[in-house]
Amino acid sequence: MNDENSVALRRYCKSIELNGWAIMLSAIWTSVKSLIPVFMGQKSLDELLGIAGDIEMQDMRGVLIFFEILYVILIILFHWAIGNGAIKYSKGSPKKFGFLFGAILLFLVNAISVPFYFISLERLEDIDSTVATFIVDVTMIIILLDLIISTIKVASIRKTITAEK
Amino acid sequence: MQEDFHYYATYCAAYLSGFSHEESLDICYSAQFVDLCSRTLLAKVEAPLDAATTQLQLEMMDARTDIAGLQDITKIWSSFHFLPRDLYVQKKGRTKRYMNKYRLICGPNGDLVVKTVELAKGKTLQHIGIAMHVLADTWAHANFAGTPSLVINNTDKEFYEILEKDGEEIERRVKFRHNLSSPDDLENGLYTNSLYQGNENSIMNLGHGRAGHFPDYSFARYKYIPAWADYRIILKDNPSDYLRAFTQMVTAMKYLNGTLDTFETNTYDRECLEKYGDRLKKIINKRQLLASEDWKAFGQELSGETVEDFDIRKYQDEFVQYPKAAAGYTMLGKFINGALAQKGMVTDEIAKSGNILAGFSAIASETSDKK
Repeated sequence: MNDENSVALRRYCKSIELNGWAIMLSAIWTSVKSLIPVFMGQKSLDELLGIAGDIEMQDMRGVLIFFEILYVILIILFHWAIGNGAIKYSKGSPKKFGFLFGAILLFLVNAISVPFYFISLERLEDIDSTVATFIVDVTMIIILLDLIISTIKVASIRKTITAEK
Repeated sequence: MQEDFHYYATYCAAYLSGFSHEESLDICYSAQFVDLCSRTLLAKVEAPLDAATTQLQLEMMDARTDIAGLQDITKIWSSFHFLPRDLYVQKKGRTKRYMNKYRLICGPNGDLVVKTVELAKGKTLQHIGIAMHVLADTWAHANFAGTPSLVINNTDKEFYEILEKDGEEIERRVKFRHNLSSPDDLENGLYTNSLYQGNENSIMNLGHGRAGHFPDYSFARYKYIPAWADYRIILKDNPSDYLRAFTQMVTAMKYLNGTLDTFETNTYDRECLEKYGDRLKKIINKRQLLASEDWKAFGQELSGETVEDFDIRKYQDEFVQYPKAAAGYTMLGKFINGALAQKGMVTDEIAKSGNILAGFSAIASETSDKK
């Protein structure tokens, strides 16, 4: 009940479950952050869609908005799949590691993109939203890293326990 | 613990230790009164509010949770219901702030319970009753702290009751709900607990609220993961703990009435166990919300006298009508003196250990008594 492996297993499973929930909730942030410049008045919708000043592309506005919404939905579903998979794994669902690959991919995407916030910073006036985005994304990186490490540890412990039995 | 143990079982223990029927009634009345002596009641009878040994739910709803408010709450609950087991326990890698709360975790057979019993030596029957309440609660309320703290007192959904079904031992996950108006449903495993509150110092995180009434049911055996236990499961065996609480009360009261010379931890009255062990186990193990009738019947068989039911108003008129200068000679007056002494002692000890959570006691730990 309280041997080293059981205690460690509970600890890491709890970590996976909490991280899973965090990833599911972060879907909202990830989908919304691309729209922050519009909400903050830093960019217009046309600028966000990349069609500002392009009269011909203005006709494609509807299509672009559709794809933007589709992108947001896919982001949410992707995060949900990772988070839900993690939560199920933490509760004992055996050998379903699909969420782990998604987590690794998301970790890499976040880790690579974070420095570009400051590199692509055009105006100093936008520094506040850039810093906020940076902090949230670094938090996400930590959550994903913790999830990946905890999953590996849980797999190892479960293997050990099975071998002992 | 509830009235069944604090009142009726304490009566039985007092009688078995050698006190007379009338003395046992005084002792058990005070033991139960600890659960009812709130500031509201004290204000009603114009008694010192500092002597409060409990807080009503309405009082707690209004309680502040800044440092002064927390100290006020902790003083009461740690002194009377969650006596700390070890004020100097060590745990690696924790901040002072965490350790202040960790060191308030209640448990039996600590140094403070010896001090509590010794403080009652040579004092009034009312003081003895207070000591017995505190002693009994160290068993029932073990593993919880008398200070609002999420990181100490919280539990999670991995909470299982261990019961017997068709001769086999099974584990049933407990379904908690926050429904104060409905009694616990033992049949279907539906129990009330306090609401989850993420705020560390929320009053919902005081004591064993998150575990509902489980600690107060003598029949209950359950396992859960307390927040302080670093993912270790605690198995709480109330039948065994309640039996030890009872026999330890007998030992303590034998010391207090002079039958024994000393009171030491981990000593339980063997004589009582040999003679009445089966009867005690039968009462304790019976699955019921309140075991008052069974304890009362046992007490009446022991003494051959009638054990009157607890009446909170019994001594209030006496206290109100007595001249203030002589109030210490009344039953309530003696109880108040005992409560102030107990609170002062525990608060002093917590403060001496370098822990600010209970504040400081302006009340001398030795208070004059009028017998």
